[in-house]
Amino acid sequence: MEPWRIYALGDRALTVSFGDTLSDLLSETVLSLQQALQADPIPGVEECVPSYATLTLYYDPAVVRASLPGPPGLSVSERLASHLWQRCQQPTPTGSASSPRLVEIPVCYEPDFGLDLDLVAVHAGMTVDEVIELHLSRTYRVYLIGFVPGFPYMGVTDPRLDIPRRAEPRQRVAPGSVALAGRQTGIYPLETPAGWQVIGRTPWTLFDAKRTPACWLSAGMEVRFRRIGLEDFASTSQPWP
Amino acid sequence: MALRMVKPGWMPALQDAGRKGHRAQGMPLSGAMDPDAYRSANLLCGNHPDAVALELTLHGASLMAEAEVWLAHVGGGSLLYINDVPAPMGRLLRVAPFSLLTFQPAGRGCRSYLAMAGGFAAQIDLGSGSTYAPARLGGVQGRSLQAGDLLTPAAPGRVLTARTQLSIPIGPDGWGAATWGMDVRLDPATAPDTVRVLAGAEWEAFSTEARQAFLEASFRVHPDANRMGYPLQGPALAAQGLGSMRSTAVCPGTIQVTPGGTPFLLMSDAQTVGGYPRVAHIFSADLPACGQLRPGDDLRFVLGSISEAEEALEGRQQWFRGLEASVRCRFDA
Repeated sequence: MEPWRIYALGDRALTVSFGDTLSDLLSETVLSLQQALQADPIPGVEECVPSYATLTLYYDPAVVRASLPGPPGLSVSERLASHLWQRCQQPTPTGSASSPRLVEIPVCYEPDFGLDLDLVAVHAGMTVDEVIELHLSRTYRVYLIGFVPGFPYMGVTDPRLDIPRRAEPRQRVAPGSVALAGRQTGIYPLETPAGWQVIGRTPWTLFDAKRTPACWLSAGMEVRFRRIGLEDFASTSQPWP
Repeated sequence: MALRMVKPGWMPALQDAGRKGHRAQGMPLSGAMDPDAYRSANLLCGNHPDAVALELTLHGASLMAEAEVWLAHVGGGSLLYINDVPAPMGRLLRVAPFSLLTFQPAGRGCRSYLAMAGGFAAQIDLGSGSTYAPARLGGVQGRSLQAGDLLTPAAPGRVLTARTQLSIPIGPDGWGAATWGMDVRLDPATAPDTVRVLAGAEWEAFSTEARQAFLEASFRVHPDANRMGYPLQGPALAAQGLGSMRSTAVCPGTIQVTPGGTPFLLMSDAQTVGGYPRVAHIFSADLPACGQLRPGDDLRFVLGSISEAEEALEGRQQWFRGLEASVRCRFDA
C-alpha cells in the first residue's frame, strides 16, 4: 500500500490521500473513511468528497476552532489534520458492509450516437463490433462523481480500449453520451463540452435535481452496460434508487 | 413590489451563498462571485445575508421598478443610476414605482449585487437559489435573466422602524437613500492588485524558477474569464515529473496549472475535481475580491501561512459582524 498523507487544500479544506493509483482497494479505503466520518461526524466538517484515492473534507474554520481544542499556536487546519490522523489510525471496516450495488445501463451504439466509434476502432486496430464487445465485457466500478453534476468516472476498461482524450474537445454532446478516455469510461449527464471519445448513448437520466438523490449513481457502485437498438432507445424505463 | 428586467446587459443572474453539500455528486458550489459584496447588500436591506440577490457583471443592465421597492447596490463594475441620477452605493434605497434603474460603467471592479428587501424569489434546487445554467438549476428557470423577466421578493422582508422609514423620504427624482450604510472606504468591492496564497498540494512539483516566477511576475486576467474561473496570462509555469495526475478535489480559490503552463484560478462555478497540478490556493479572505477582477486586470501573488490565512478570514468575519451590528437597529425584529 502507498504511503498516505493529509494536506491542506487552501484554508477551508483538507485532503486525505491514500495514493495516486487506480485501484478498487484504495477506492474502498476512501469510501470507508467517508462512511466513518458520516457515522461519527466532526463538528464543522460540512462535506466529504471522494475521488479515486483521496477524500477531501470541506470545513468551517470557526466551528472547527471551537470544537477541536488544541495547543495555542496550532492552526485550525493543523488541529483538524491531527484529529483526522488519529481517526485514520483506528481500524476502519475494510470494504462496505453490504456488497456494492450493481446496476445495468442500456446503451445504444448506433453511428448517430457513437460519434467516435470508428476512430476508437482504428486506434485499437479492431472492428467497431469488437470495440462494443470489449466495452460490454466488463463490470465497472464508479470511482467518483465529478466534472459536472452526475458524471461518473468508471473503470477500468480493457487495455485495448485505452485511448487518449480528443485533441479538441467537442463544444457540446447530448446528455447520456457514453465515452472513453484512458482506461476509463463515463457518461455525460448534461449537454456539456466533452473531451472524451463518445461511443454510444444511454436513454437514461443520470442527474435530476427534482429527485432524491439527484444523482443516480454514486461512488462505490458497479455498472454493467447492456446493448440496445434504436427501437428500444425511447422505450426502456429507468429505475431510480 | 417588483422589478422588471428591461435590458439584461451581460448575463445577470440570481445568486445566493451557493449550493453547499452536493460536491460528492459533482455539483459545483456556485453562488455569488464576491460573497462580501453580496452579503453586505442583503444586510443593508434587512435580509438574511444569504438571501437571493441579483448578480450583475459589468454595466449595461436596466430594470424598471413596477412598485415601490427597497434596494441596496454593492460591488464593482457598475454604478447605479435611478431616473438618470446617480444613486449611492452601500445605502438602503427607497425607489418609487415606475423608476428606471440603469447600471453605468464604473472604473474598477466587475460584479455588483442588487439586493431587494425580502430577497428575490427564485427557483430553489437542492437547497439553493443560485443560478447554475449547465444543469438549469436555481434562479429564473435555471438561466441568466432576459428582458421581460419579472423579479419579485421571496418574503415580505423585515420592516424598517418608523423612525428609519421617515428618514428615507422619496425625493423629486423618485427615490431616496438612507444616510447610514457601509463605509465605502472599507468597501470590499475593488479589484485587488495583490492576493495572498497558500502553497498548493503540488507546489513542490514546480521548479524553483517556476515558483519564483509565480511569486514575482504579474499575471493578467484572460478575456475567457467567466464564473468557472480565470485563465491567467504570464510566464508559463512548468510542473515536473507529475505525468498524468489522477483527478482529485479542487475548489473555488484553487490555482491549477494546465499542461501548457497556464495558471487557471478557479471561481464559484468551478468543477469539483481536476487533474492538473495545484500550484496554490487563494486565502479565503482574499477570494471575494477576486470576484471583482475583470479581463485585462493584473494580479500578483504573495505566499502566506495557514495561520495568516485563518487570521485574515477571522478578520473578514469580524468586519462583517460589525456591519451587521450597525444596521440591525434600523429594522424591527
